[in-house]
Amino acid sequence: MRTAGSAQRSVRGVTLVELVVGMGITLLVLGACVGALAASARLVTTLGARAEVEDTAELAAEAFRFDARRAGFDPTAAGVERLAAALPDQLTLQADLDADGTLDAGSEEVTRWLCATAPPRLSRIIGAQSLPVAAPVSRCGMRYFDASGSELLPGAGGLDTAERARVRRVVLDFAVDPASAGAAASRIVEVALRVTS
Amino acid sequence: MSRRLRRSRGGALPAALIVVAVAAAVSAAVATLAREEILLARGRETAARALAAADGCAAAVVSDLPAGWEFDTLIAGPDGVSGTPDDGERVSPPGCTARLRAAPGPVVPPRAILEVEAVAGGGRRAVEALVARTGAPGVPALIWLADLTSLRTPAGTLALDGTDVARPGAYALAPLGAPADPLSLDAWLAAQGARVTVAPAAGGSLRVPPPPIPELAVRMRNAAAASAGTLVPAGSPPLALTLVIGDLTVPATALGRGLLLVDGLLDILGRFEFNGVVVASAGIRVAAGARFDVAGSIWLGSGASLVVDGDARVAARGDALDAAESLLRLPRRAFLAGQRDPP
Repeated sequence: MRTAGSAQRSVRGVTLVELVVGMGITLLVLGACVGALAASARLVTTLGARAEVEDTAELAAEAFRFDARRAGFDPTAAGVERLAAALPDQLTLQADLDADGTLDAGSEEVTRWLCATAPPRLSRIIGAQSLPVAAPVSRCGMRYFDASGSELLPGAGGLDTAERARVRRVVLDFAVDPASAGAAASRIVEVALRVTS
Repeated sequence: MSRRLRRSRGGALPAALIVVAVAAAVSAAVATLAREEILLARGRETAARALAAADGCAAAVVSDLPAGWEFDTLIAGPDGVSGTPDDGERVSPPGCTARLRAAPGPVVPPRAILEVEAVAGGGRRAVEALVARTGAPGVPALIWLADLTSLRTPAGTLALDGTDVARPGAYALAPLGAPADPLSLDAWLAAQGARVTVAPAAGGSLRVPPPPIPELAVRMRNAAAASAGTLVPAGSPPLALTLVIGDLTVPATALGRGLLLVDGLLDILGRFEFNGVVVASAGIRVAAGARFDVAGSIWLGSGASLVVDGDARVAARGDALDAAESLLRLPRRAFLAGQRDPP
């Protein structure tokens, strides 16, 4: 016959074993959960960074297309030159957007796109304001093609006036590096410039 | 069960709840991010569709604008009276509206602003397009037709050479231009076999508005065009504006230069050589045994017919067109010279 004291000891012994085993299992489960959560968090961070760099590249491409498609808008026939400068690392687009017959260099009527090297970034420059639209870039450059598809190669001072008038297609080629490790987001944007005369 | 045991078992529940709560929070964050990305992507797609629709609408309306000199009559609208509600109205593709208005600034060079609004993919987009007249006169085609039915199967030969020998770097002209599907024009050329030759062989036809021959005749009359005496049987013909009311028959050899408009049928029975633009409102017939050589281009009016029972040849010559242009400004196509978003 078991006494009350032995019964209590038996219950206490089981409780200790159960406690240890329970804690062990809990630790294992928690460890697995924390590991899974950490992996998920890393994935979310990586995907977020990837999405961000792709968004940056796409928005930069969209902004470039937007500027290029309206270049040369000259409703008053004032002689607006759609491409005021064309170099391998920069170009300047012009449009008389307010139809007043003049170009306001401090407004979006004169938009400069620059592949800067220090720091390496693609910038959209209006007047004195420079907006880095993509940074950091591991690759950035502009190319120019005439109506027959032949590439016009800019000299030291860029394409001259006659060559710029022949440009029918501009290509912006750039790659944005992600903040963390991973592949760069590349874009090759080809835009046909309007023939204005 | 003892209180201590219950306490030790009770620790697992809060831990599990915490894990579940953290997992739920992470899942909610991911779901929110995903939903935002989807909404952004959908918005971007909608904007892109609407912009593409507006661009396409502007291009379609501009390509359908009649060839001519200025835009005044188009801006006045179908009733031809300025200051009325129909001013600038243009027929546009489904899903968009288009209206033409005068451009600011000087009258020359002729320009107009085309206001376009398009609805597509749940989005709406408005653009303003600048419309101008091309620098080169006419259309870049050797034969400019008002309709496809002008083309008749030739019993003789028709040679179309789009290469300008005087301008080696210039782009070759298309063999045919008409307000029709270019593929149907090319199909007609291909169906003629050896009777019709096209050079360069890869030259494709163009879809263009019809030539404005009645307006051109009025302008020639106002410019005091000669009605006869400008075609010579031999030697160097004078550069001249010639407007013939009614049919013109060329019974023997005749040479001409400049701009010739026959407001009727041009019937060639002998040998006819012309440098410049030959316009015929009712058509051209080259009789069997006859020969017709044009260095420049041919324009045919609505309902006209091109019947070649003899031999005909049309070759590109930019300087011949320039010479004709020096006598009287020729009509031009409209083209899209610029675009902006409305202010």
